[in-house]
Amino acid sequence: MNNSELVNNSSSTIDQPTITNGIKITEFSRRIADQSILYQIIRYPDRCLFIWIGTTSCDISNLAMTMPKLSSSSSSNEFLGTTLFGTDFYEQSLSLSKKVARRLGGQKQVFVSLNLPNDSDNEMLLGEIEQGLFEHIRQNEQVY
Amino acid sequence: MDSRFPQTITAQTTLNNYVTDLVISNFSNKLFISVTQFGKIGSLVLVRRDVNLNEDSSPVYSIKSLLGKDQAEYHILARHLYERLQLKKQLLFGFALHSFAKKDLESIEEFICSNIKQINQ
Repeated sequence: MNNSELVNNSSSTIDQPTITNGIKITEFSRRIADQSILYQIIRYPDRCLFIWIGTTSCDISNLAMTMPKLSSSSSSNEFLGTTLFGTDFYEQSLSLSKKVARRLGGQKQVFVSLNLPNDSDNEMLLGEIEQGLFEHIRQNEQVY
Repeated sequence: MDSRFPQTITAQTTLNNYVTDLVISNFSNKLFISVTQFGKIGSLVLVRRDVNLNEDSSPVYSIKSLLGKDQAEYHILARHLYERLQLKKQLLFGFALHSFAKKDLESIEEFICSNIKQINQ
């Protein structure tokens, strides 16, 4: 049984989540520095997100994960995260997974895979890509 | 704007009285399969087929636990699935299951195999 209905949304303003009973998928793209940056977000029912960001080559070269905070009373602001595999952009994936976990109040396990051309390792581009993701989260706060 | 996303499908069924969710993402260099009865990714392993330098042509599999317990039964499940699907690329396999009994794992594999046909590998 396939109950998915993927939404390939290339609009820069409207992002429609796919409605399923369980796992939900959202896809959107942004035009950043003359490149089409694709975002695919898989939302699991129990506080778990899998975020893939890449280009039309659709590869997955690294994966990082940040854990939810064990207790809201924890005094530490540090999030526990790790790289699971990969070499290119693994630090940026880990950093972004921690930022998303923090943005969501430490309530979710966040997997992030950032897959960009090797020559795009500059802070400005990464900043815009992150901004695209956080803008999407802000506009769809209710589903996160 | 070119927006060719990784082909991804989701499915849901009830197996052994547990709601079971499946997501399959076909990345260019890896196939991501996640099957869960707990609503989260759970354990994660990476399976690849290595080049066999000997001439007996038997395949050699490499299974690496990325997240969760590094248990033999997890390796067997991942490797069996990889062989059954006859994959040409690496398998990133996530699973969170109530039971690893043989009959339960067979149901899980059937569920995956019946849905993977929709993926153009």
